[in-house]
Amino acid sequence: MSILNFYFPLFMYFVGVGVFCFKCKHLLLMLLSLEFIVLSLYFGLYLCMMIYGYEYYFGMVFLTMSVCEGALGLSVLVAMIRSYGNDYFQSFSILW
Amino acid sequence: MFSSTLISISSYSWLGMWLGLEINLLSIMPLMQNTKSILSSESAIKYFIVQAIASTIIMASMISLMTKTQMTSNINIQSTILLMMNSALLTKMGTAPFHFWFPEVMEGLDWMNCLLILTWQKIAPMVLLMYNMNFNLFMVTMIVSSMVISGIMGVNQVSLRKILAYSSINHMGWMLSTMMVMETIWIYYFLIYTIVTINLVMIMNKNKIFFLNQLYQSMNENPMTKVWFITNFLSLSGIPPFLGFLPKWLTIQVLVMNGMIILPIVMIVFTLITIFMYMRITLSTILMNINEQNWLKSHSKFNSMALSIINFIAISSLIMITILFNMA
Repeated sequence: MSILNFYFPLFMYFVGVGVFCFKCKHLLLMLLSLEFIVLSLYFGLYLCMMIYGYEYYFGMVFLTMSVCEGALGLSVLVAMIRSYGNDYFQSFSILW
Repeated sequence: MFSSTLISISSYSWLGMWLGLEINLLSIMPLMQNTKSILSSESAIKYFIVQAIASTIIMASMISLMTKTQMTSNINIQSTILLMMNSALLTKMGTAPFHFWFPEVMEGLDWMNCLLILTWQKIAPMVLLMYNMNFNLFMVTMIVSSMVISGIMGVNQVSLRKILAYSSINHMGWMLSTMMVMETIWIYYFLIYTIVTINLVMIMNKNKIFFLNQLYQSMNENPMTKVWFITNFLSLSGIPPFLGFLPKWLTIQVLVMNGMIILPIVMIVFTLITIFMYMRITLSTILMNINEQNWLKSHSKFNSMALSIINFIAISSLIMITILFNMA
């Protein structure tokens, strides 16, 4: 199986989405699975860009944006903990 | 935030479009944070999670497309990977059946943030959707489910933000149907919808109205405010002498001219439920005869120029536009 076989990043992605959807108790698990998804996407992007030759620049841009997104998720989590006291899913009950 | 939408719209590759969507998310999150209320932090978390996962789905479908077709901007339209990408874009907009986050997030935000989510945040996903839009069963299912869900779920609401959220889902169904045939009508529909929504949100922001039971007593100091509120609400519903009728008229005409007859019939029938919703609100607002308390009467003069100008545009545009079309 050559490394250009694309099924491994896709499998990683869907496992990450699965973990994202099976939310257990804490919101931090959701953010962690988001980071795993980003990692699988980066792997897939790298494989795609290897075809073009010397074209990995968008990989850096992608990585920067995704890290910003992860940091944003953490800051939103901190905002939630400051107002709710925990990060459990069961405490989301006001908005319905 | 404005530049992020422009980046998304004006880029010629899906990678740039994804970048614009990410910057959009990054730039609107600080606006939603309000440390004084826990509602807004809950809204911010829900909004962030939904938009982040939709962005990753877009990126994953883009990477899958890149491996299948070896190109990033020329896409075989009949592919099933586009189904994934369309679903993610529809999630970003809040269209049914991906709409579950939308009323909850709207409920926790104040009116200016609601206005942003209702109008500006929809431009980038819609324009991206236009690139891979075609008339297939998937799109028709999305449109019909938008109509059904907005009608049935909107009738039971008491909070004005949720009512505007469900009416936005309804209008997005109409906008999706215009995108299938002629994209210029989408621009008209979106512009008119934005003007009417800005009107409504400005009036409700000024009077701090959030729920239905605050409606009939809070706009009494200037009767024009009540008239403008009712005009804009009825204009949202698409009834003829108001501005909101024009885009629906154009949509139905173009759809019928292209041979799709059953889709407009279904859309009109389900929009009737939302019209009932609006009628109920406007009837109780305009006809309630409340004796004003003498000590609560505020003697402030009505001096909001922006509100007057935008309402003038909203009310007189129907006649002006039809005159313009007949003269040109």
